[in-house]
Amino acid sequence: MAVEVAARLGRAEAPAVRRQGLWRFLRSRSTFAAGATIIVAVSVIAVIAPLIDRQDPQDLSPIDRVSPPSAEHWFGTDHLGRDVYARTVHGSRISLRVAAFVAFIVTVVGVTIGVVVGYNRIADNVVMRVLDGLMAFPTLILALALVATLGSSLNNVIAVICVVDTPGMVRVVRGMVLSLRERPYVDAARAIGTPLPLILIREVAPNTIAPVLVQASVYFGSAILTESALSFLGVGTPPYIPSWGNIIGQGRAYIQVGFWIAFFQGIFLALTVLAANLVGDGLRDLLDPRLRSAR
Amino acid sequence: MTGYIIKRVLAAIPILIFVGLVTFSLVHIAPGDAANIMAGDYAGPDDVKKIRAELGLDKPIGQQFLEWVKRTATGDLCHSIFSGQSVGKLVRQRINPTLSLTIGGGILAVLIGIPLGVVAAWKSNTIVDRVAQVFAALGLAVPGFWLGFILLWAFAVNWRIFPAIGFVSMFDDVGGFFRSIALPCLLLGITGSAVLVRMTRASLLEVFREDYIRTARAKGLGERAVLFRHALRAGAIPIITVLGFLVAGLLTGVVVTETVFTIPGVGRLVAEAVQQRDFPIVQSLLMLLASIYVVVNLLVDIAYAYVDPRVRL
Repeated sequence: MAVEVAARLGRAEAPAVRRQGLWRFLRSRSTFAAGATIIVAVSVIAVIAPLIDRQDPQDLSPIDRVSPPSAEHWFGTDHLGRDVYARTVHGSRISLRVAAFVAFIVTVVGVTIGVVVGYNRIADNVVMRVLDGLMAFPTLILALALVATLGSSLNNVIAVICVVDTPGMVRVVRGMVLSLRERPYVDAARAIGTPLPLILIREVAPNTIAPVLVQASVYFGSAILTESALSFLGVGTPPYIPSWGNIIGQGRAYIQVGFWIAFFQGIFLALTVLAANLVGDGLRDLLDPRLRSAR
Repeated sequence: MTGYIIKRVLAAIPILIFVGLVTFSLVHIAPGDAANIMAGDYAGPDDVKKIRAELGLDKPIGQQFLEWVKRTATGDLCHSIFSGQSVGKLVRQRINPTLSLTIGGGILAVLIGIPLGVVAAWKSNTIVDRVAQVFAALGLAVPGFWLGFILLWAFAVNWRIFPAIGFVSMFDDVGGFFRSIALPCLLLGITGSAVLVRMTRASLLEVFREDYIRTARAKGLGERAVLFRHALRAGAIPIITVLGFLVAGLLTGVVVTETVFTIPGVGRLVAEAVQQRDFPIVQSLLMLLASIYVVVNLLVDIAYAYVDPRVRL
């Protein structure tokens, strides 16, 4: 009886599982593709911004101020008569630059510290205490306080977001390294006399790539959100450089007369961050099936 | 259990000390001189000297730290450079709206997030699940301040259902109170629930893969009984840990939310202090919010160990 039930269950379940697996595979590829397409599209916009802006984003036109979207001003104009479309297009440059720098720096620094810490007990105890301390702060609040201290500039915003995000990356890498160092092939490398730095570079670091890439794409998206929130609050990107966050921050005051001033950047922000998260989800499913349920 | 609690509390102490050190050193990592920055461009040397004395920057660093700890712990001795008011007083004046918003937003986030996550996992790969996942994905991607702007435009400017700015105390006017916190709470609820949906769904999906769920189904239990009597009991445990994330989201969300809706709360105080570079206030608030966060995470850990004895080992 029990055997029969088990067999029936097994038979009933096997094709379903396989079908689900295939569906998952296709879906993870399509989420990845969709996310990557959007990121590429926004990157292209950012690169060719001066060619497609139709007007200088800083040009003042007091006669046209707060005019609704029209054929001449696709996204309308703001309180100083500046073209919102041009400002939005140029804003993509800030968001993507911050995101790319943060993702890159956090990855390089995080992997380096993570690998060292995973292999060295003393460094582990010291560094992890410090990182635990940094992670004890709510991220945006710490970023706010640091920017207030260092002063608002694009480089400071990037540096601050890196400080806030790196501990998470180190944790991920350290966790991977702690399990990798017990693997037979690492033992084998040690047995044939490979020096430790070479083991770290050739055997350990490459195997942390899957979770690192996933994490990097998450930080790519969250950096965009953090930069925009800082700029919205008036302490991120300085007001003379248009960024999605500070355009919305400035436009908020004109909500009664012209909601379009702060409308379109939000859609761009949401789409770009969503795309980064889709890339992350897609990568997770594609690169390492074991990570699927990890988050 | 008592041993576990003591262990966790002891582990939190060095973290709090570290948080204090970082917060304290903010004034010292400021490029140039914090007193100069605060004095602004039009200050004379005397003004800078006065601010430096106010900040205690003219004393040896060890003494500065001890004095800072003492001042922060009592709260009333840290004064705003600009208004001259003590942090304790400022926070007490502004705590009412902030508490209302975080409690309201937190309740809303739990009411939206957890049921949606449960249903998504229960009906996984159906249209309900898709909708929940899209909601969560959008909730994580849409910036809170922009969503707040849209809510404000739709419900306060366009339809004029809710007030656009300000906060009405519960003790003055109950109806006005609920109208004034409705939109901010909705914003905090939506943004907070996105994480809850994801985590709840993931943790329940894991439970649904367990052998005892298969056994329950195999012995002919209805789906409803499987969900309520078996899956939810085990699945509820990891959800507790999510509440730590929720509190972090609310603490940062309140800064943005109070700015969007012009509510005179602690979050707005943070934003203003940061904009004015009012270091004593920034430091005290950073310390306060980080301490709340540390304590909440401690409580979450203890609650988790309480319901799941395996953690204590």
